[in-house]
Amino acid sequence: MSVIASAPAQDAAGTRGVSLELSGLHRSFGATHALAGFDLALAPGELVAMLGPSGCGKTTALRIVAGFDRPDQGAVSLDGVDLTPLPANKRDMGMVFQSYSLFPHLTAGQNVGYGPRLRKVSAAERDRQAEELLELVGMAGMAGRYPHQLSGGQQQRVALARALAVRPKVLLLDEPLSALDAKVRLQLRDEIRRIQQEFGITTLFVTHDQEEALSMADRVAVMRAGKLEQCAAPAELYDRPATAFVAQFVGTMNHLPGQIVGAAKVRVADRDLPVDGACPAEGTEVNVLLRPEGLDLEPAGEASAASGGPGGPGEGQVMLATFLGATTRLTVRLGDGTEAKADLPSHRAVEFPVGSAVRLAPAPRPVLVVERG
Amino acid sequence: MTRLLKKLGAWGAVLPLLGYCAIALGFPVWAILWEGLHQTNPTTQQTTVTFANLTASWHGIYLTGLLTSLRLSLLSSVISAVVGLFAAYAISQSRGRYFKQAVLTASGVLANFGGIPLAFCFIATIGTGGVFLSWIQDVWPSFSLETFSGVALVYPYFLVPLMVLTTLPALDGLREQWKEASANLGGTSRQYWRHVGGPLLLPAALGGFVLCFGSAFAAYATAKALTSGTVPLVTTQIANILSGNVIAGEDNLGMALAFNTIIICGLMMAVYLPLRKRSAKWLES
Amino acid sequence: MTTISETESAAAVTTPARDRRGLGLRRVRWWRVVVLGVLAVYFLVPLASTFWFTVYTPGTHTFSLAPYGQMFSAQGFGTSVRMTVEIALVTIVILYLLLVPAMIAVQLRLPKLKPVLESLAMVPLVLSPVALVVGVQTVLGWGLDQDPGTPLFQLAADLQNQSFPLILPIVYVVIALPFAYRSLESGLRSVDLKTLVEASRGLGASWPVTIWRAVLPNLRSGLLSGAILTLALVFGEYTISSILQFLPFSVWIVQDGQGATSGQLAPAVSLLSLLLSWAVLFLVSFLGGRRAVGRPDRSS
Repeated sequence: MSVIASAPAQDAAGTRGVSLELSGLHRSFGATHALAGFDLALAPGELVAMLGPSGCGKTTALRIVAGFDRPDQGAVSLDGVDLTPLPANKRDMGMVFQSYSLFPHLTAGQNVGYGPRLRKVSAAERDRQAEELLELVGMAGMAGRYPHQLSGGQQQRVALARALAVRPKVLLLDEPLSALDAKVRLQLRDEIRRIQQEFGITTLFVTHDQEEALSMADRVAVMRAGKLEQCAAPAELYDRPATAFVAQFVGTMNHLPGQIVGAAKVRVADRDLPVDGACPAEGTEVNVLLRPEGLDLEPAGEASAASGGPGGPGEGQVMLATFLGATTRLTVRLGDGTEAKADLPSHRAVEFPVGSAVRLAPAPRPVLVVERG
Repeated sequence: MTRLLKKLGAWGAVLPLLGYCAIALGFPVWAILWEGLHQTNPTTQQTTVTFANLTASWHGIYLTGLLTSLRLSLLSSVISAVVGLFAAYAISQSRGRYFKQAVLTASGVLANFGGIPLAFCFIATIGTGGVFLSWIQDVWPSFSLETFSGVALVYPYFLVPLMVLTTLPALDGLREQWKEASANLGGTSRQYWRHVGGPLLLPAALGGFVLCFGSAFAAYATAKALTSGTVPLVTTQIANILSGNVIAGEDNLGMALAFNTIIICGLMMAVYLPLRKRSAKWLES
Repeated sequence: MTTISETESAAAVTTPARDRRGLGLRRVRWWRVVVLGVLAVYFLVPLASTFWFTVYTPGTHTFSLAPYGQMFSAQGFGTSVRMTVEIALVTIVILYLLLVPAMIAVQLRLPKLKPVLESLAMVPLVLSPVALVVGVQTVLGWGLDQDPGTPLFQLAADLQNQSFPLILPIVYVVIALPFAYRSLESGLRSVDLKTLVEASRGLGASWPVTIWRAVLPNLRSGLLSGAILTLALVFGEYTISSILQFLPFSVWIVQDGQGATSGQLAPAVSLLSLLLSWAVLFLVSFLGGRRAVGRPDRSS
């Protein structure tokens, strides 16, 4: 495609794209600290998703990168060049907003051609490029439509084409799929990823949807209260969360009461498990973090059955069984009131119907602990 | 079936209003059209269809009156439209909730504040004996409130608020994302206004201008109170005829003059409505 | 650390007044001040100097608020005020009886008629009251041309009763239509009419009850401001009433008030009525609802 052919030359590693670095960003609005020392580095061609709860600063960071806002402290650099003094219209970035960003008085083709038009590209060339890009985003032949004639998903495709038309060095996506319905969202998710990889553009993507972040990104940056909690590939984020917040935020996590016994060992549910990462002093009361798939169940001990109810540590009663297809999630209420969720293959889950007494059987793998209280 | 009934019921609620307007507006307008095209011969008491009234209304002092009215309206509405547009933009950009509300209600009141009270206020300010007259006459010796320029200075007092009221919704409808998207794609502020903001606002701005023009053209009391007839305007001429200050037998001439104003009003509406529709489609969804 | 909602922070960032560093919009601020400043001067100076004019007599170099007190004791003040108030009330009642059902019906069931209503509401702005009064006078004249004793003659005569000319409210309804429509429209826009009505009807209320108990209370501020604008309009209306030779407030001012106190009375009254209506409207807009006239947050 001629659009790609005229893009910047590829580097030796065969990937195109620039590296983007956000260092020490601080931004406050009155008494609220939207960003309190935020660092993030993107390798060329990478898609990094910024994920976090409302108010964590992800949109603020994106807008600072785009140039719509200035940080109180810190800098943004592109391939080592500091961008901070550059205004938004000189940063050579493409942005897709959450919604309503297409110019309503221009057709889809004219919208896509807006950037090139500002760069004095001839009308014929503009139209040709617009046609190509629209085809790329799956909107072939719709160049003559006006935004109000397009659905939400179609509008976002055009917005993407428009952002790509200026051959930006960095692509910025501000929750582009949040305003769309589920099915369209899934479709577009894949397409955006495909296009991004094809172009090899370094991309920064803001979302509050975990699933979206985990499925699309090369790395996910989990943010909280204006700081970076962890930035890692989705699998690592899931299996080896660096902090308790990340562990709780990504996926479902059980918190089971336990106590540190010996160096790097914790007793939970009447078993001793090795501790992963930093381990508090012996005797500390902790919560042990376990994923539902890492928790198995056994029938409750004979002694408890005799005494008429679950009594021992790690013993409890099945309260709820949620059928999820291949697995079933069983919610167990322990003697002390804690609830634990265990994912079992459905054919095994039938052995533990609701109301039955069970004992937790965590998998013998290292676990993360966090001090209680 | 119920849907049909519901529609009928809805129509039933709307018809009184439409009917009332048809009578209260339509009847007088029809009267003007009828009388303007007829003339009663005083001796034979016979009424005939004639264009004589209309043609008379396009000559002599009546033509002057028409042209002066048009000139005055054009001047004051152009000034008011431009000023009003900038003012509306400044207001739409401001954040203070009380400020914005205060300005809006003030505009509502001021747009209504034409006529006699307005004239009195300006007479007190720069009319003969007015507080600031000497200041003005220092820079503009021949200035008098009772001239064309005097009236043109007063009209914006209610035209600018009218323009603000009409264009503020459109300005509020300019989404921030468009400005940012334009900048993101490499556009400067000027380019944004030239390619995006300007075209989007144009229908509303034009519509506001047309509304101002029509309003200025239709104004009567202010001009009368200020000039007492020294500046020939269609509206004052009609009033003169109505109060009997004319040659006998020319009463239907007043009808013809009124007829002219109605035609102009119709033209204004014909231009205004499509503009409003276009603007609403883009900016008020 | 305060947790603000993401939408709030996004909105905070997109407001240009709060932060101008992003797009280099600093120069816009002073330009804004200049425009609004010049306008403030243009609008406030006449009012201020009018006030000055009414309290200061150059001849005797005295300050006195006398005109403001004198207006109440001037002859004919009471009658003209009372007549004007009556006319205004009748106008408001007719106006709302016609407008409220129509606007509700259009909003709920006949959206295609909205442009028609809007254009109808614009016409009185560009239609010269002088032309209108010409037509009205002609129509009334036709009635009076009939033989006395016929119903048409009687009707025409009644409408022009000197102590309470019914023809005036009838015409004023048309003139006030744009302002009342606009007030009601902004009120209707901020209320989810469809849900309100469906909820009320679903609970078993009939149409009149629904309108009276569910809809109207929510439109309170729009109704009030429309009423006040109409009141101000009726008080200030001169053209039609003077040509038809009735004596409501503004005509009285011009005729009788002017001679009385060296021309200070009329401006005093004008000023007072303007300030009063603005103050009341301002208050009403805050009593009516917490919905501010801010820009809708479209950033998220």
